[in-house]
Amino acid sequence: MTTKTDSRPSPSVERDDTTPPNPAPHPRTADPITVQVIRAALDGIVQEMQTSLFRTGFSTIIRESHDASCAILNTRAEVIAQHVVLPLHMGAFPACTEGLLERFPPDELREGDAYIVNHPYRGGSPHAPDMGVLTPVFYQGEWVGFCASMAHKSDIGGTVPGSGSGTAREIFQEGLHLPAVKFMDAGRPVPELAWFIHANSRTPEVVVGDIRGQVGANRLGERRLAELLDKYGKDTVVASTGELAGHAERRLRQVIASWPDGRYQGEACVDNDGIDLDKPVRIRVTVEKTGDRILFDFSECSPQTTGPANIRPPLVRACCYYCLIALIDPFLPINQGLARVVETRFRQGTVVCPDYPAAVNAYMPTALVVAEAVLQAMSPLVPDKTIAEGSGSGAIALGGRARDGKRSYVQYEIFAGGVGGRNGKDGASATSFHLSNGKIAPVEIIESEFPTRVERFELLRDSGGTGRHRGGLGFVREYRILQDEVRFSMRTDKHALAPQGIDGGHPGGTGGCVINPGEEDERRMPSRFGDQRLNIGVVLRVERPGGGGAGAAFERSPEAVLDDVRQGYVSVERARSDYGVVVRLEGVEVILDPDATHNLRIVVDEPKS
Amino acid sequence: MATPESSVANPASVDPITLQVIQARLAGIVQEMQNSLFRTGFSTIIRESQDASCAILTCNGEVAAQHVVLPLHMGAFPACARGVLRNYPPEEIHEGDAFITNHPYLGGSPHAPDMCVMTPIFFDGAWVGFSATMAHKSDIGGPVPGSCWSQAREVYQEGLQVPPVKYIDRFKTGKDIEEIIGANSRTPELVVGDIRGQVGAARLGERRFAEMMAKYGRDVVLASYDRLFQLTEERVRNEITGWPDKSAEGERFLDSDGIDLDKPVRIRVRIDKKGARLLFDFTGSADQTRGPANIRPSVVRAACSYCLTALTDPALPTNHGLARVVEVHCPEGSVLNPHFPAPVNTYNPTVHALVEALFEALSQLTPVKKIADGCASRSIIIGGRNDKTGRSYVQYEIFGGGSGARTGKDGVSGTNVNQSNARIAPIEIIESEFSTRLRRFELVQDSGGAGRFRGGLGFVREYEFLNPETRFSLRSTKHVVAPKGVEGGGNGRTGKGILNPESREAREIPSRCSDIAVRAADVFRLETPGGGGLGEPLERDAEAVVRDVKNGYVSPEYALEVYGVTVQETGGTVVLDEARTAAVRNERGQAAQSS
Repeated sequence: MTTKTDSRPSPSVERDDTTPPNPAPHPRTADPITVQVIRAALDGIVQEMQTSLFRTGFSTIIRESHDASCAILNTRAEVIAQHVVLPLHMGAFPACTEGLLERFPPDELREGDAYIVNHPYRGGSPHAPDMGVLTPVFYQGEWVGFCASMAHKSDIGGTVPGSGSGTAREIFQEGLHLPAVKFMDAGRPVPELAWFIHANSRTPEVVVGDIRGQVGANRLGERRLAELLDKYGKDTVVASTGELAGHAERRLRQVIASWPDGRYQGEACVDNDGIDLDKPVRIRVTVEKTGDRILFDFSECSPQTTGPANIRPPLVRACCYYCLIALIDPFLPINQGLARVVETRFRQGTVVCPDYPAAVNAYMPTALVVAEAVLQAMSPLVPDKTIAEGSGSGAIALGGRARDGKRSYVQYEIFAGGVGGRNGKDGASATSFHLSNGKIAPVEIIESEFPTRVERFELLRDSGGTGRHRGGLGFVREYRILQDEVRFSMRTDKHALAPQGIDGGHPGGTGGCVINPGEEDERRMPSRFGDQRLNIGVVLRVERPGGGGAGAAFERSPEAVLDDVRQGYVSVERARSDYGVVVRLEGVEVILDPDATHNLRIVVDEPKS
Repeated sequence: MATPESSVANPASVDPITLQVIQARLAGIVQEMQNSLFRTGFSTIIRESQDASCAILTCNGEVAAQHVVLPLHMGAFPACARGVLRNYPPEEIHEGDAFITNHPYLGGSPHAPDMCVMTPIFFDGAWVGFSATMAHKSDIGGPVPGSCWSQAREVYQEGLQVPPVKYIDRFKTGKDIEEIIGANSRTPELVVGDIRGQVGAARLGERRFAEMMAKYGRDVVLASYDRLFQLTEERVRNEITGWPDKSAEGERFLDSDGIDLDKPVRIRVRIDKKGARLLFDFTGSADQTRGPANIRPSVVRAACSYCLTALTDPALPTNHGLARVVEVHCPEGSVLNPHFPAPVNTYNPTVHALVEALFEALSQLTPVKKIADGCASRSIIIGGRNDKTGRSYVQYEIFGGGSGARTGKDGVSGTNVNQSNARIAPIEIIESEFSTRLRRFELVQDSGGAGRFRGGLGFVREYEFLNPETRFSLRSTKHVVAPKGVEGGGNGRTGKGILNPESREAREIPSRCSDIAVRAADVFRLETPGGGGLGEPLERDAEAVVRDVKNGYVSPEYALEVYGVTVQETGGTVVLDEARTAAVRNERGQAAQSS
């Protein structure tokens, strides 16, 4: 019986691994120059795979939003190179590869094979729409590793179009789940797998097309890798990847060792889990730093949620990798060196280590909160690199039958909003950040591919948290629905809990979602729901949160505030009330009133948040 | 290697004795397959409710023999076979293969939980047909436990859709298909176990079939097919020819589609009978529904075949000959021929309404065989995680109620009717396997439609939930539209679903609803409908009414009110008060005439 029982404990090897893993010995035969050349070549290969994937994308999610990433792994399922688009996938790729090797031992791998896995528990997909395609790489008949790509799929069935129901209670409501299965066998497609996926998707051509695009990107990676091995020799390349991992590890440990030992706590909350709407979901992390070791203890996080706010430990680990990269060296090579440094502790049955089959589809808002809690905990360690909270992330899915009645369509968009203010810099407006780097799909593409009109897309004035360094602005996007029976789902965060400021900075504006704003039947939606039905003519307004501010607002330079007013980022009234900066209109020109500002800033204490 | 059986032998050359022997062997083979399937069932649905059937098919997917448990599968098997043949040309079909599908559109499953497993039969190295089984699965994922969501709007919300794929390749089970099915089920052991049981039953069929061929010769067996089809077809056509040439119409309504709860769904049929031909035209039936009340044309055909069997010869060999007689027109985009991906999971209540409309129309052509409406069918699904074992479970039960009264006979109580023949799962099994206690299971007094022949009684079943959190779905019908009586007979009583009856929170739930969260100690009461009556109640034999009162089927008050029968209790037994009964009946009879 190969079927796994549903009650088996989740494979959470990360639990309680407080002892540092033994670094594998690596022969150091490559000289430093060659190592750097090989590093650049590997980066180039994943970059080229990625470009190929985006360019061949069938769905707007890949083609426009770039919700996909590529990596190269060694035979031990360790990342040796990954592109940085989606840092979360640093955790996902090894878990997917381990899931694959569990089902297909090395002696069953053949050149030309391609495997698909999208199972969050028996692989490492963040949620089922993210399908991993893994192809074993062979060099001169010998298996040397995997090329891998992971890309979000437009729809793989389940309760709602787009497969991500904000109110799912089990993964069975989140679409087709594939443990690692063979999609191509020694170069020959396995038709059954394509039929299977086809039969379980509302947008089969788009999904199967994108999978083939992933296989193509992997094949390109295989070819380029073979060329690299041809040029430098297998031993040198393997030695170099070992050296690069060692380098990343040494670099991290060196910096960590320079930090003061201690225990540091961070805590942040997700609005809710989509089902218990009044109950924030708490992420609490205790960072224990001793010498050159660092342990992230998540055992005090909320219990696993009924709704889909759960995330699996491989992703939580990836959040930690991301924070270390961000705080220590953004140019660090991304490889298993990171995994060796990060020690984690989880408690089974929590939102960050849920029991199968807890729902996980709205993982991204939780992951972002994990990153924020970790950054908050670590801010005493790296006081010159602090950042206020940002907008979180959000996704909408609108789906229905295409106008010809013959096909279904799914319009899936991912958004962020304003980034938090940082040391020395304002937050960026209307962008993705931290773990998600998806792009906003262009209006023209949306309108040409889906029965939706985008009637408004602009920054939200005054949504950036005030502070010496202002939070980035959120934005508003307003859609008019152009056909009946459209089904709408949303999975986002920070509609209830505003992105917090730091060092005296104020929170950013919360997000919102309103159906038919200003009409009699106006309806404000929670941050997560599934399958709201919309008919022709309905207007849907999505407001994205702004980032929190950093530092006291009265310390922001009046010129910067003036510029904000000129750009339309801050209103004249808020410049005055929040920043104590007086500006006025002269002709068409907005000008600063330095005296009034001076007087105001002296007499008025900064308003308390 | 395809062997077109048309090239085989002259059907007429098979002698009648051999033909009958082969016919009986075929029936025996499917019966034996069926027994194997039920006995090896992992899930209560197969083991206890027996929601499964078996068949032997030709290489083209025509039914050569099928067991009668689920007449609907007559249409399902050929459609599944066509799906397999579309994906796999004959040269890719090998001995030891097994194919699987549950797709209502790409294959022919009535709904996705019904999975079909087919294995090719080989004899002397040549492919001679299929051995096939279809069985309901406990859960294949989707929004609700049991995979049948009463509010589904597309097949994507009805669980894993398995296109026709090869499951076993030359006796070697592929690594992936079974794994995918398991990974998408809340109860993977039961589902995969039952699929393997289906393969086992199909293999048994292969073996028995090959033995039969060894004994009688391949050509004789294949030639017998043609002759048997011909005999079935002739038998039905002869019967039809005796009916008057005319058109007849029938119409029934379903409570709703599960989404538009106030809108009954119309099923309409017009039958044009001319000579030996019957055309079933379903124009006028409702447009396809948003909810899962739709059924596919292959199911419609099977329903027509079922009615013909019932009216011509219940002992008719079930085979492709029947399909040849049934000419059907189902308008595209209607509830009987929906466009992909319209949901279909609650197909059975629709089929019941369809069968009743068909009987209404056909009874105009064959007035000697009439039947009132029955209870139709329903299922309940209770699912959750067992708090002791931590595993998911799905308790799926299928029920009927009372059957309609028939010409010359009362309806049957507490049974299944028409095309559904599933059994009620025993209380002991339910209580030992699931976190549910059965508090009550009895017939509902006075629920049978009154008539010269009384409708069968519905029953009540009361469940107490024992888990802290359980999710509950009901897919029923005739909670709104009562089972109709005929020829003056009264309607059967409608069904009812009540949560926490006899408490302040008592709440009646609609006939179709899903995913109701219930807690420990909550109670659900299901009353199933009774059958309609046939003929005037006042014409019912008074002694029969007394018997009904003695049995508790009819209350003394109802006996008087509806049947005009007065009973009295003497010495602990109920006896007829002949004088008062005669007086009452006489008075009412006159009142009826004068009005």
